[in-house]
Order: sequence, then C-alpha cells, then structure tokens
Amino acid sequence: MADDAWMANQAIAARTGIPKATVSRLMQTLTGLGYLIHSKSMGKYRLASAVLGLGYAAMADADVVAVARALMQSFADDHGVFVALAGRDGLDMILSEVCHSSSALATVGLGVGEHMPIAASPLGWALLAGLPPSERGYLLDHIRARHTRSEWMRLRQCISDAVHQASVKGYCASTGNWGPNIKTVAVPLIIQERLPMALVCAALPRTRAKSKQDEQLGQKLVKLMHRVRERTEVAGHG
Amino acid sequence: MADGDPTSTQTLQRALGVLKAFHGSPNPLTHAELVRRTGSSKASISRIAATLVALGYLDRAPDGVRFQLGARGLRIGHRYLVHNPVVRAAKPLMQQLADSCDMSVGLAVADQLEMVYLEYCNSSNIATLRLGVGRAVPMELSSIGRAYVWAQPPARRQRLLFNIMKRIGTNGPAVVARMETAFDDLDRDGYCMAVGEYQRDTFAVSVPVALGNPPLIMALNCSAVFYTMDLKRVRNVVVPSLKETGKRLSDALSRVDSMLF
Repeated sequence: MADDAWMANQAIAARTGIPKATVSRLMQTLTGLGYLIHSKSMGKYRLASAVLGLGYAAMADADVVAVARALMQSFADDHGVFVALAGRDGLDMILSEVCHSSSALATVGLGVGEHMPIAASPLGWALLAGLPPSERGYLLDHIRARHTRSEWMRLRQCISDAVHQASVKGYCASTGNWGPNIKTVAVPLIIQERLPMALVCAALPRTRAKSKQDEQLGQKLVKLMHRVRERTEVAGHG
Repeated sequence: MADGDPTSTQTLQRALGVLKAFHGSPNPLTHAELVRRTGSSKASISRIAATLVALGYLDRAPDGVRFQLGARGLRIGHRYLVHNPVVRAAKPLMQQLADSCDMSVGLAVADQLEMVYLEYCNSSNIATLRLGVGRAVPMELSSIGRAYVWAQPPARRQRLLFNIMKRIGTNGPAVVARMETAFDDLDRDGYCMAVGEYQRDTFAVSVPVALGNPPLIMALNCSAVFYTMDLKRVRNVVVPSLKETGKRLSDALSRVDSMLF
C-alpha cells in the first residue's frame, strides 16, 4: 500500500500483478486477522494496527544504525580509527555496527553481533555514564554479581572514572582495554525514545602528545554523536 | 473458502505467523525456535523464511544462521502510523503524563491475543525500559491486556478468556484466575496493576479507554522499573493522572471516525 491511505482491490491487483480474485481473497484474510480495515461505503481497504507487529519495534532502533553507518565510516577513514556502535542486551553490550578505516592503522578483531560484558568494556562504561544515576545504580547492582570481588573492585574504579570523564568532557578515554597500546575513546549515545547506545573508536597511539591526541579524538567523537542524534531525530519525524 | 485456491491464503497466514513469532523483538531466532513457536513444519518454515528474507521482511542475523526481523515491516508500520489520528492526538497528552509522573506511558490495541503498542512515551529521566511502539505483550500477563479484556462486552470477554485458556494449556486456570483478580480491581477502582509479571523488574498500572466514534476499546498504562515503585504515590498521583489522560484522549477523539484508527 503505497501513498494512499485507502485502496481498492482493483488498484492493488494492478500494482501487485496478482489476479483480482486472489487479491480479494487475500484482502479478506488480512482484514480478518486485523492487518486491514475494510470500508463498505468506499469499497476500499486501509492498513490496521496489527501491521505494527510485523517488525516495527525491532527496526525502530535499526534506523539509528542506518543513519550512523555512513557517518561512522567517514569518521573511521578520516582519522584512521576503528569505530563501533553498540547497545545493551541484558547485562552485555552488543555491537550493531563496526567500521574499519580504509588505511587500516588500527584494526580491532570485533564484528557485528559480538557481545561483551557491560562492566568490562569501554562501550559499557560510556553507556553507564549516559544513564540517569538511579538507573545506573540499578544496573550496577545486577552486574556486580557476575564478577569476582577483586575483579569488581578494579572494574568499579574504571566505571566511576569513565562516568567522571564523561561528565567533565563528554567522552571517556582509556588505554589497553582492547589490547596492548590500543587506546579507546567512547561516548554515550542517548536519543529520545530509543534504547541507550554508545559509540567507541579505537586507535594505536602514534607519537608523544598522547593526551592531546585523546582530546582531539574525543571532541570529534562527541561531534559525531551529536550528528547521529540530530539525523535520527530528523529521520524519525519525516 | 469453497472455490479458488485455498493455499494462497494459507501461505499468507503462515508467513504472518512467522513474523509474529518474533513479538516485535529485534532478538534473532533459530529455525528450530520458529518451528516451535509457529507449529509449522521444518520444511514449511524453511520455505517461508527464505521468501521473507528475499522480500526484506526477515534478515539473516549477523551469525549467518538465525533470523531477525527486517526493514520491510518498519516501512509498513510507518505507513500505518502516518495516517493514524490516534497517535497524533495521543502523543502530546501521553508525553505530558510521562514527564509529570516520571514513568513510561503506553497506548495499546488488541491484536488477536496480544496487545500491540500504538504509541509509547518515555519520561526524559527513563532510558532503559525496553518496550516501544510495535512491541507486543501477551494479553493475559500484562495489566494493559487485562484492562482491555475487562472492558469488552461479556460475550467477547468470555471468548477471549476461552482462547487464552486454550493457548496456555495446563497453566490456564491459574493465569485466568489472576486475570479475574485484576477484573475485581477494575470493577472496584477502575484500574489494575501488574508487578514483575511480564517484564521482570517492572510494574504497570492500566486503564481501558474507549476512543472515537463508534467507540473502539484500547488501553493506556503507566510503567516504570520496580525500584521506583511507591504504592502510595501510584494510588494518589499516578492513577488519577492516568485516568485524567484517558478521559482527555477520549474527549479529543470523540468525533473522529474510529475506522480511521
């Protein structure tokens, strides 16, 4: 059903190439199942609420990924870094998009669909940093049980450090969590009416001037995050 | 159907059944799980899934083995929502309620034995609740479903309860007994509540609403994660605001032809 709210059997048959008798049977079935509404006075059909069950909810978050993909790829190419977008899946982070730089300076062996515990990943720390404090506390209570006491002491420190960094600078930087010398910068991506997500980029430290490099990359990643958010909100209202 | 070919409608129904087996969730399902959830044969699931992938209603999951919902359903859902007057009228009222109560507010319609969210507004302070527009929840386990069933004319209510019993099997009587407790609450107070039944760690209060002309029954709820629950506040603040929002929504739509919903 393309642009018109109401359509008659004839128009549907013409558009789909399905014989009219079959169309009329299928339309009756779809009406019976709640996917269509039939107006007797007009002799036409329109979509009904059951169509929302065909995947609307599942994909509403996927449009963030679609919007982010191109922006992430040019970010990866421009800065010679690996970029990933992730959301929460239970007590794990799950990667929904990854972009490698064409110059391949930094390659992290992670693919789409990869899971990692929230507490043990820079992505998870950024996500936690983006949540309201009460929700963060609630998640932390559940996460704690998955780690040994000594491990938790260390991770807890990483998390509060990341939360502090995010509140001051908007991003959190760390080194060595994704392999020796690999530095990561992560930002929370919080979009109205969407599940919270996080963006991360990973790079090999090239020269001295380390903190300056962190700072530039961090600020640029924050800009990327704002652009993803703006474009998603625009797309959502279109 | 006596004449013509019955298989095209059967195929259509099976294909819709496969899509509905996901309950609107982005989580991938295996072939075996689809067989289990739909009751169709292995071979028929293979054929249907391949067709649905080709049409964009399903995708292969990143692991290359499982299936997940594809972008096509999103487009159809958009198309439906764009033309929907309920969503336009409901969104500002629901967002206002969500912000003032600091809870999520949902409006759901019935889809066979499930409730599907037509609109869903989060308070700006809540980020992690997982439901959204298009998500389906079982009628019998959610307060929003119970409020809907309660508001039905007696004959339809009985038919729904019968079908729910039939679907659930051995656990049916216990589930229906819990629904009837909710009906008692609705008789007495005009709302019902569910705590941690469908979604662990969340609670919800729901009221039925009759929208448009002729009136069509839907249900409206407020929900939040469990740790924020304060029963006294729910009773004295949240429920009255929820009822008020329901009333304002039905006033706003009282002259709108409910065939447009």
